[in-house]
Order: sequence, then structure tokens, then C-alpha cells
Amino acid sequence: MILSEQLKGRVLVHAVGNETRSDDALGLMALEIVKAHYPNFTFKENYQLYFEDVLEWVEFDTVWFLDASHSRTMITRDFKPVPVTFNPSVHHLEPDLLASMASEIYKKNVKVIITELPGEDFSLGSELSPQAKIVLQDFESSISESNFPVHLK
Amino acid sequence: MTKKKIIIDPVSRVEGHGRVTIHLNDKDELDDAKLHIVEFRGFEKFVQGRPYWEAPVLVQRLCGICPVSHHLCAAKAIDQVVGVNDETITPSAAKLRRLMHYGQVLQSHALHYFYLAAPDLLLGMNSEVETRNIIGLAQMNQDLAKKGILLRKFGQEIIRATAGKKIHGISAVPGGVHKSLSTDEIDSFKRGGDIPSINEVISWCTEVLDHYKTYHRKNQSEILSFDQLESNYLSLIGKNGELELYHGNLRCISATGKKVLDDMNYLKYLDVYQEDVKEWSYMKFPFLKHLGRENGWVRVGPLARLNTCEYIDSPLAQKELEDFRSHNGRFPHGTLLYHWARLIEILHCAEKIQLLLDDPDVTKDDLMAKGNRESEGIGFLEAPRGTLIHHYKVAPDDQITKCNLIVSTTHNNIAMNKSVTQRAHHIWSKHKERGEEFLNEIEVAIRAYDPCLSCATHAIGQMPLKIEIRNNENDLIRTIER
Repeated sequence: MILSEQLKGRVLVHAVGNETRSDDALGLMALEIVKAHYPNFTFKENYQLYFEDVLEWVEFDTVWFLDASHSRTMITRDFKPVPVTFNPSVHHLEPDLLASMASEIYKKNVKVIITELPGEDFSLGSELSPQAKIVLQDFESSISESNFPVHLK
Repeated sequence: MTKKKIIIDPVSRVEGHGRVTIHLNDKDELDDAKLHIVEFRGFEKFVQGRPYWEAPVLVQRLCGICPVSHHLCAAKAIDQVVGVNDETITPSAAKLRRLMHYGQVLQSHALHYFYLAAPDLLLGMNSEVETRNIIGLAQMNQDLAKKGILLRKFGQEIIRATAGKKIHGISAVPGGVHKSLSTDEIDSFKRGGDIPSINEVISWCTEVLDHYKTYHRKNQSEILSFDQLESNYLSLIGKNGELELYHGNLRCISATGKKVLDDMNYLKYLDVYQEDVKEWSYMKFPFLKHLGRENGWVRVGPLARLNTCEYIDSPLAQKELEDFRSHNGRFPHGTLLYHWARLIEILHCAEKIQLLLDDPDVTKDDLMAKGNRESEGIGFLEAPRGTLIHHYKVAPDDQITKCNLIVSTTHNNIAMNKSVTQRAHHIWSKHKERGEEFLNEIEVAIRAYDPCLSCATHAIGQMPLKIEIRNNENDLIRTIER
């Protein structure tokens, strides 16, 4: 399934990250690329995800969440229902939880798509690592070519 | 025969990364338990060399949950460097800082109660782990879950209005603040809309307390027998013995209520404080010098504050305090009572916010005070999790030369270790072959303190949890994890 076919209705693009922690900025930088291609979407960015962000999510048909990750490859996927082992720390909140909250608490069927952008170096610094730069280039190419595969559950 | 060690790593539904080890002797009996804090960041070191006016903005980066506490505590300390204190700061600045602080305590307590603690309390400590979370809570009581989200949002909006941003605000500066409230902002909190009005917030706080008290009555024996830990209690205190979250003297009482620090000026804290270091944790172990290492440890935070204070100067919270004491006695020690105390403080903060929104000083522009430059500043504050200390020394060229931070969770370090040991003894005697009891009951004990392990070690955090059993030669015998 191609991403552009998934981005229906009112779309919120939500990125989190810290520009002073090297590759942690990947989500924020990806958001800037999306802005250039989809200027009519709504955009939101912050250092981290918060429970109350769900109040904004339920106002949209589709939420596209962008964040750096420790995964090895870039992946764009549908959200996973909260895992059985789920135990949140507010310092480390999973976007999948917010998606579950939207459906369980607010009974809103928000389509949540999550893009994990693999980072390598999360130490203090304002430069992306060489690997993260390639990831960002791949992200931009996929958007430019409208060839952005989404893994649906 | 060999000794064994069980490790819980990481502890979940707390802020930051901790690990618990449980040590067994050669008779397979529980010998000891330790909460290890395994993060390190080093803020005290890297603010050295920075100009003093940056401290309130820099140091709050310790944490994304309670940055306002660090922002304000650093500002209070740096006030002294510019020759300003609580007597000389302008009324508008003092009230705007208090408003910010009450918003912070309200949102932090709401977050902890609804998202981290309530699943254990309202769904049951032994309920299925698959549903013992906010989603399970929402399925049981959707209205309660929604109110939790909105209470937290209200507190965050108070912070945004007073600090300029919800996270890592910039309003508190040496000698005052640089932003007052507009009448539109005040109206938005009174009127409500996307957020509840202040009247609704107060009403919901009372409702949540009633809900909790119903739960408490049904489960009183389980709650009170969970962990009874007789301890000293430490907090700031108001001039007349009232609950005080922003500024006051330092009071410490013994387990029986005897004053062991008699409302002393906190500027003299070095005369009474000492910190111990253990090789197995990055978190320090503070204690009161005159009581010694063995007896000088304290508990801080909501339960400690309700025990040290004589009354609360807001009427609804005072009524709740009286109810709390009529159920639990004047100086209760049950660790799970932290949760009830936390809910009373949420209500107190909401009442204080209501008063301040009606105070014309918060709209005035008299925001800055000046004084004579000093070389040192000490700030104390009651953060959501307890007493917070910032201490800075500044060179003539304005650079910070020394910084000492003792955060709330650090004060509770020894107490958390004792609670973990008590629970581990209890579990080992009944469920030694089972895993989930270890994982959850140990976590419940730690979670009651609402520790922020990231703040305590000044480190960023992620939260998984695992138990390992090791013998006396440190060989891994067994692992328990979710």
C-alpha cells in the first residue's frame, strides 16, 4: 500500500525529537520535508509525546507520526494495538498507546500511521550521523517519487 | 550452597530507568534488596562555566515532566545572586511564579495518578497485566480517564500561560518574571472551552477524591498492610505551619511527630545535610547529619507534606486533610497513602489557582526587582515529588563555578530501598516461584513515591523491567521479565 493513498481526510503530521541530540532530530527534519510536499496538512512538533496529545489526534481523520527510532531500517506502518506488556513511562510514550486511547477512550476511529526513522547517534550534537543523513535522503526520495510503502496490520 | 540475587530491570510506570536486585542467602532466604539507579547525566558539572542567568533555563532540561520545578528553584537561587529574595521580589512576580508552580504540581500529580498509579489501585494489583494500564482503566471508567487527560491539560495550559511554553518555559528570570497574564488568558481559565474551567477543575478534583476514598474504604486493610514504613518526614512549611509548596522554612518531624528540624531557614541546609554514596547506584543517599546515617534518612513528597503541616490554607483541601487524618491518624506511615495525599494536593493547587486568577497582581507589569550582586544562591522548593534544592556559586565574571542539586527523588532514595526490601520479604515468603508478583508488587511500592529517576540522576530515561536471580558469585540463576 502506498502512503499517499492512506493520507485521507483531515491529516495531522506529528513529529517529536530533540534537535540538540543528533539523530533524535530525524522526525523533526522529516516533518519539514513533508511540509514542502503536503502544505495543506496540519503540522505539530514537540520534544516528546504526551498523553493529552490524544485530544488533538481525535480531531483528525489521519495522524502521521514521525520519530527517530533504534530500528535498523526505515519503516512506515499502521499502529499496533497496545501490547500486553505495555507499561508506560511518560518519558517514553509509544504513539501506539495514543492511537489506542483515541479508539478506547474517545471512540474515534483515527487512522494512525507511524514512520520510524532509524538513527545511529543520539548523543549531544546538532549534526545528523552519516547513516541518518542517508535515511533522510531516502525519506525525501520516497515522498518525491510518491513511492512510500506502508505496512498495514 | 550459594547465595542468589534477583534483579528487576527496569522498573516500569515510573519516570526514568531503575533496576532492583534481590539477594538470597545460602538457605534460599531473602537477604537484602536494592533499588539501583543506573542512569547518569551530570548536570551539576556541565552548567559550570555558564553565565548565572542561564541556570533557570538550562537546568530544567533535566526533565520533561517537572521542568517547572527546576526552572523555579534555579530562579529562586539565582534571585539571591542578583540580591533579590522572597521579601523583595515584586508581588506580581511572586504570584505569577506561584501560579506556574501550582499548575505544575496539578498536572504532574494528575499524570501520575491517572496514568501510572490508578491502574494498580482501581483495577487491582493482582489484576491481569494485559489490562492493568490506562486502556484497561478507560474500559472500566471512561469518564474518569477523560477527566484525567483534561486535568493534566489544564495544568499544562497554566504553565504555558505563565512560563511561555508548556515544556521548558522561559519566564522566570533572575529577580522576577518577564511575563504577566492578559485578561483574555485569565478569562480562558475561568470560562473553559478546550480545557475545563477552574470551577470544573475543582469540582472534578473533589469527585476524584470521593472516588479514591470509596476505593480506600473497600481495600483499607490491603492498602495499609502493603508497606508501613516509620520514617522522618521533611518539607518546607509556611509561617504558621500551613502546607507550603513554593517558599517557607524547613521542617522535619520524626515518625512520632517530634520536630527534628524546627522550621529552620533553608539557607543553612549545609549545616544539617550530608550525602552518602554507594557503589551500586548513581543516586546519592542524603541524610540529616545530627541523626546520623542510620537514622537521619527522610521521606519527602505528598505524604511527608501532609504529615509535617498543621493545616492547609485552602478550605476544600483542609476539609479533605481532616478526613485523611480521621481515617489514618495524625502521622500515618502507609506508603500507599502517598496516593491519597497526592489527590488532596491536586485539590489544594486548584483552589490556589482559582484565587490567583482573581488576583489583579497577576496582570500587572511590575515584574522585576533589583539588588546587590552576591556570589552565591540557594533555592528550595516543594516539587511534586518533594523537596528540591538548587545551590549555585558564581564568580565575579558571572560564570557559575559550583552547582549542587538535591532532587526530590534523591531524598526518598533510602526510603524506596526500605520499601522494596519490605515488599520483597513479603513476596519471597509467599510466591518465590512466581514472577508477576515480584514484578508488580515491587513496582507498586516504588511507584507510590512517584520517583523521577531521570531527575534524580539528571539523566534521560526509558523504562523496561526485568528480574534476575544471582548467586553469591554473581552468576545468573533466573530471569523474570514481561
